[in-house]
Amino acid sequence: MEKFMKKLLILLALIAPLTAFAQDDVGTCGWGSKLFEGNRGLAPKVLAVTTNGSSGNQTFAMTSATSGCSRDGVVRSNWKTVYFIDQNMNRLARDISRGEGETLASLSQLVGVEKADQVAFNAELKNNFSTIFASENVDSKSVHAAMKTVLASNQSLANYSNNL
Amino acid sequence: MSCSLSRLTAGFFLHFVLVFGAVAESSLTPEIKELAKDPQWLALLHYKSNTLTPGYQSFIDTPEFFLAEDGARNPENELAATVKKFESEGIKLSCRYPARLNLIQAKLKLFLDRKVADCPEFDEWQGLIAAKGVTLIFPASFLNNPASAFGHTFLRLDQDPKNSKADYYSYSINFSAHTFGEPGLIYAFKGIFGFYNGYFKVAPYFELVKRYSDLEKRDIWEYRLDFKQKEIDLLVQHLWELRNINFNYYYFDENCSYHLLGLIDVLRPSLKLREKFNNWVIPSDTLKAIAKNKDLVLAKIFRPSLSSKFNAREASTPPKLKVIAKERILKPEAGEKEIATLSLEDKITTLDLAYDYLDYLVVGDKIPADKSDPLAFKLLNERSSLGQSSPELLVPKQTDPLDSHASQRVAYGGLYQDKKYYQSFDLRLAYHDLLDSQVGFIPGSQINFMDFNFLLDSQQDFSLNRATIVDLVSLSPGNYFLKPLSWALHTGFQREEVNFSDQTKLVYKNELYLGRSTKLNEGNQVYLLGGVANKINTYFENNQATGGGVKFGWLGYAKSFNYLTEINYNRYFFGDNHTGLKYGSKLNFPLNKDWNFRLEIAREKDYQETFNSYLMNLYYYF
Repeated sequence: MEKFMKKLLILLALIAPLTAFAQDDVGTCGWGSKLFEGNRGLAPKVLAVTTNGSSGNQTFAMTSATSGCSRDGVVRSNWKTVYFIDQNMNRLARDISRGEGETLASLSQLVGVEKADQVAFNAELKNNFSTIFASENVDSKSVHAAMKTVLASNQSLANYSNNL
Repeated sequence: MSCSLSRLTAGFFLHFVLVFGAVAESSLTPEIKELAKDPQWLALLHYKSNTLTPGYQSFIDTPEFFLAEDGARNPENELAATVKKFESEGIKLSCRYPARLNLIQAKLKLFLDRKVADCPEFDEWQGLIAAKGVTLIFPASFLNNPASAFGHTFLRLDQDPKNSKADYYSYSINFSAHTFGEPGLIYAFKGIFGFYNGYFKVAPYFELVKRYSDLEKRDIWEYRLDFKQKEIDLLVQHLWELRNINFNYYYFDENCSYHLLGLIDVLRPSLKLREKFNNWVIPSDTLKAIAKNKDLVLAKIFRPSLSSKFNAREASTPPKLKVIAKERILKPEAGEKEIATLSLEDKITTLDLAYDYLDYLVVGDKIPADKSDPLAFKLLNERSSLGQSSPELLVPKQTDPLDSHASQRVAYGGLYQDKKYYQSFDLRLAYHDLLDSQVGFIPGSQINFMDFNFLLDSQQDFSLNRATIVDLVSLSPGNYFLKPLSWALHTGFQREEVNFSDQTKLVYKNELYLGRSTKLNEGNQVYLLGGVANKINTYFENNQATGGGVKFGWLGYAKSFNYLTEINYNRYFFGDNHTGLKYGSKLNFPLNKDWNFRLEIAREKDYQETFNSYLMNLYYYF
């Protein structure tokens, strides 16, 4: 019976909708600000976004106050790629290790990678996986910096480093 | 639903206030009167014409949104006040209402010197959203998460409609309720009766993909729509007006999909989408209403969920490698040694599957972070050191929800039960059962909601035979890695024999079964569920019977018909002591999208009596 009650509770918990609130983002933008606390670690972090029930990043909700990083739900242009890497770091790590995938393709698009450079771009990141993702609890700030360095050191890809 | 009732009554009383209380503004010129009737103006203010009385009522529940005192109910006064205040308060106010300004400039030729560039905040925002296309997004239902049962809809503003790589970081607009994480029952109550505020939220599309596709395991359908840049610009201007603007949220009618129709009406008022729905809004129905407009849908894209991708990868991996991949996660050291012995291609296959399995465990909260981080780090490092890219993963495409049957259903048929003939009439308000045509649905799921059956016997006596409130079934066959729970939940009334009386009464029944399902082959699965059952009627000894039982069934989908054979045995030992046994088969032929034909035979034993029933039904979906 106890086991059944447990299952029942699980079922009820499933029925309970996953919704709650994160606080509005305030202050200026930058690493260490509330928005960019910097995600850490290489395993997928979907749960980190959702265990407190929040549906995605509520700081970016239409209702939130305007912050230094975002204006009414939209990320300031100079933080666009950084925000993308921060929010998709684990998917990006997966794609880079495989040399393909939607997250990597999206990042390339964001950075403006030309069709002709795409293969080289993917390969460069893949070959330098261990440099970019240097440890198991690497944070997104260092991932971003390392990616820039890796691209800068390859002559034909160096201009993408500035876009990152 | 009660929520539309409250709207109606409110509208009725307000009508008197309007007729006797409102003072006509002197600035009501003929041009203003004309534009106030324009569908575009009515769409921008989210007005709905009252059902019983003349006049309008806006869905917006934030008073500050309106510039006239009675603006929520009076499109003319609101337009007049807008023009007047734009004049007196200058550019600052029109920067808060860029869509209104746009319309007034176009139709009334006023304020023509005002430019978007005068509104730097809005201008920056609009530039960052960079909307060049609109895509309708439909996360399909996934029954193991009942909150998602009816699907969901939202919009994506594509930054580069011709290039799907830009989709992931384009912005989406999603209407949702602020529920403050309140638990299920409170959510249900407040949601149904309109206690929550709802807002349109702008967020990068990847945020929503993470939520719907990864966490909630829902396949997503994307429908690129054909709108002109002018229409899209007006929508973005209007979204700026909707910042911090509240629409009361009602689960059944004024829900996400309903308000989304209101936004599409802003894009193109002539579609008149919202007025096609009244008191019962199911997301897949709104999807069809939108797509019904010829040439509006440019392309369809299927985005499989994380779990669909994992299942596809699992299905395409040789059994030997599955064993190693699982071991690599659960017993890393042993797994590592095994992988070292494989060929390059097998290594890649195994590592990719292992990582996706880890991903699945993390998303399901089945592995702690201090274990998953190092594991992921090693796996990905190992993978990156292997030269080649992974082969493309082919995920079997689900059938398009646009082609699915409608959610309401009626049936007419003949029943021969316990040696008596009846005519049988059915009405179901929503949504889909195990045997309905599976086009556009995930096989093995059922959501019957408000399903009624009436019988007319040879003496012309009409009686209610069944009134199902909710009947949910989720049969998810597992695989080598995943063993999901299958379950069935029922609550409703059913006419049946009570307490050796040889009489039938309407019995209130509650049942919950949990168990497992296994795939036999493509299209066939068997399941075994066990659970509790409870029946309530004053004719029962102690007014009720409670017990437990098992269900065993075989469900199959063939090309032109679906079939189900099930045995259900219940033993009631609290209250009225008795057993119930029922077994039978059902065979359903989808004739086309709107018509199905079904045969059912069953043998039933309640108390001492055993009887057979034969049913032949014709279903119509609408």
